[in-house]
Amino acid sequence: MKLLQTYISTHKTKAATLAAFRVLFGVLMLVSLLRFISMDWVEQFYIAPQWHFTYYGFEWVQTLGVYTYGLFALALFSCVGIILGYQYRISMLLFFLSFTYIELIDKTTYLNHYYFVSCLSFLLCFLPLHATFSLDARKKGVQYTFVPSWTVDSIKLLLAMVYFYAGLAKLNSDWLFRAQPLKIWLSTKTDLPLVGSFMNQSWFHYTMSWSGALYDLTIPFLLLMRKTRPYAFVLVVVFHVFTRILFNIGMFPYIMICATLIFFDSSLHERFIYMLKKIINKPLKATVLTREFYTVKSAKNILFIISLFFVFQLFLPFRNLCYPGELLWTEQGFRFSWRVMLMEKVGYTTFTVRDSVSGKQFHVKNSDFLTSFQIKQMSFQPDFILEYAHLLGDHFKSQGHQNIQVFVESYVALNGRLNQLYIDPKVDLYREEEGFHNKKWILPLNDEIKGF
Amino acid sequence: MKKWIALVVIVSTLFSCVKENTNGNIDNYNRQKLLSNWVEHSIIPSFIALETEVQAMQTIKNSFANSATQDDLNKLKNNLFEAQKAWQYTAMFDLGQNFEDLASFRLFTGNYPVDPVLIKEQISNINTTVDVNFNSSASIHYQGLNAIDYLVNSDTFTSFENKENYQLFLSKVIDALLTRISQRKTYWETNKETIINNTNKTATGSFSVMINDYISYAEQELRTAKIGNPSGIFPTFTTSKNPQNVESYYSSENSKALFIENLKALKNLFYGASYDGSIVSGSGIQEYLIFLNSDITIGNQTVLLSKYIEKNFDDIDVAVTILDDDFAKQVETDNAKMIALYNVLQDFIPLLKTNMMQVLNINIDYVDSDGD
Repeated sequence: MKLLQTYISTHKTKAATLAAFRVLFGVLMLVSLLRFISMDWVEQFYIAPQWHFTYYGFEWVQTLGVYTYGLFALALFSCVGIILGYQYRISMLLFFLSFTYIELIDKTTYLNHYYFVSCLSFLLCFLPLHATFSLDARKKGVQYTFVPSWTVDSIKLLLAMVYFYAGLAKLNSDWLFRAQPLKIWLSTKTDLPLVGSFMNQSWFHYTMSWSGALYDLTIPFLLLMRKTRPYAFVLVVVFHVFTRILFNIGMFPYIMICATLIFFDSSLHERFIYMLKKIINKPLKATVLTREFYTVKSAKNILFIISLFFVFQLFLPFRNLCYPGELLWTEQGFRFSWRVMLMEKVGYTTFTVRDSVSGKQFHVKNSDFLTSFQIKQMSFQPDFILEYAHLLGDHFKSQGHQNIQVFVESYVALNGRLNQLYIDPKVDLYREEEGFHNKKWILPLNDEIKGF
Repeated sequence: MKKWIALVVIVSTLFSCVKENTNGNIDNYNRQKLLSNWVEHSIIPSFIALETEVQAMQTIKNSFANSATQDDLNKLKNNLFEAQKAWQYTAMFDLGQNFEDLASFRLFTGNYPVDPVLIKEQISNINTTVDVNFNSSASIHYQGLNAIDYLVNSDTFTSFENKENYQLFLSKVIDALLTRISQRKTYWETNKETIINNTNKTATGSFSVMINDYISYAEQELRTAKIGNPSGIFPTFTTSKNPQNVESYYSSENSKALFIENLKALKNLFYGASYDGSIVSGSGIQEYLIFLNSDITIGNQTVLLSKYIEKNFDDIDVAVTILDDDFAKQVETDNAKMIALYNVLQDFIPLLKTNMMQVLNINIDYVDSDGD
């Protein structure tokens, strides 16, 4: 306990580390958002769809239609604020809120990377990333050389957790003993230069699977230890560049590579800041004082919130243990738990709307209601299927149909297994409710996946 | 510092090697060869065959004297059956069709069941100066091969009083049909090169579009229209039989033969065979799946996906063999066998939609988002 107290109150590290992280984070987010807009995804994901799949408990988060661009503008402005260190806390808070709001509009677009950005930006709201090399410091006339170590360490902890949990999740029989889903994904990439000829070979699939799991599990520790750090960073770069070449994963590799730089000695970050200063070439105002140590205001409260956040992060990924059945099949407790690249899942799902009294029924054309992207995601995720069933029920009810029942015929293939019936076709989904309880109408997988 | 700059440079070069959004699903299977096999050996020959038959029908109806003879009618019936068989190969792909059109080539030329009431209405209203509307979405119920089937194979021809109107309508339906067929044939012939050379695997690449069409065709035409609707599985589950929904209802003794042709069209493209089956170059889905080394896990067993699809084709064959040549009769006498065939097809379609699409790794989406 005493040790912890001294660590919190006296352990310090260079503020330049946080400043460097702030600039990199801001720039990467700015680029990510601009890329997102330039791909026309704002239109395709948030404006064009007639209807959105919401997160349980966040149904109130609605698309703003064409004003969603306003949200993106807000997020972009806050990125500029973050980079410059201008009104840092407000900028960071605005970024967290606008980014998270965008992500909550439609779970069709859910990606662990986006969740990671939300988590990280939440954490950063509480950390003094503007202690030095920021407009805030310049305006206030005070900059600091040191910040408490726990500020930097909490970022490291989050990163380490993401990697480690992603590694744990890979310790399952599909990943390790069937090399799935990598086998499916890699087999179609034989056109790549140099490595292309390996892509269709079993040993390569297994090598990639095992080394991927090993990488995720060990990289946090390799980055923490000074001796292994430079090698670890080379690994980080190689790993993420490789994933970038193989998969369509957007900005994530860049974000991870830059983020892991935080594990390095502050001398590196100081040099980075020094370099930036040289580029900017604006002498520090003589009036700016340099103080030694940044003391976090209401540190107790902040530490309490951060601890709570980490406890939450520690347990949330294990919530799948509360549910029976195969996690990868039922997906109960799948999201928000750093289970990355674990599944190749495709579904074929069609709905029947029935009048329980007259027995009349008809098939629904999914494309009348959903975009092709939404159909794809809906087809193999039970909570999507349920929400869509309710949408259909409500829709046809409002059209004057009565005694509505909604049934689904769904076939799903997981990780190279033969497809099988996914949802009990006899269950009227219109009467089933979303919630944290077990979804009994998901039929069990005719197989067992061992491990996490 | 220099080391770091060097590293940054190396990393950024590595990244710039990777083009944004090329959707790296590129395998080096020879898709061009496959596409060329499909287009040149299967699709275009089938259009030529179809056009030839319908041209023959046009010649016959143009030579009608005052009144068509029974001999004329018999000739028409023969050509119609041949045309219906060829049609099964032509209606699969929607390439180059305007999606804003009210209906596709398939619906304009081969929709069924047709609506006798609407047809009679058209016949009564017809006159030589005003054209029949063959472009509305309702028109699919009174035109195409199945409308001709009604006109030449039902007993309406002999019973209809106004023979002149009747023959005029038949003539216009045949002309409209031929125009559409020739248009589609021309489309394939003129765009052949472009289609064959568009080998990328994005959502707009030829193979992606065609494999999606292939599966929808199996789903909507082979399964739903030919078996599901007449057996009563569609549109309701309450097995209310609809024998009048079989293809070519007025010559329903041909309905099984047409199903078999349709299945053959799907098999040909799978095995890489030509339209008439005379050339089997092998450039087809089967070869592609074998190239990708794709297998599928069933319980504890792992089998080649292509083998499993072949087995499904065999299962369909078995379920069809025991059926009456006349599906309408089959539905009336022993619908359970029709439903049994439906169930076999219902194993087959999800296999294509999920497992096959998975290993081919094709973007179904026109929107290309990031993955995890």
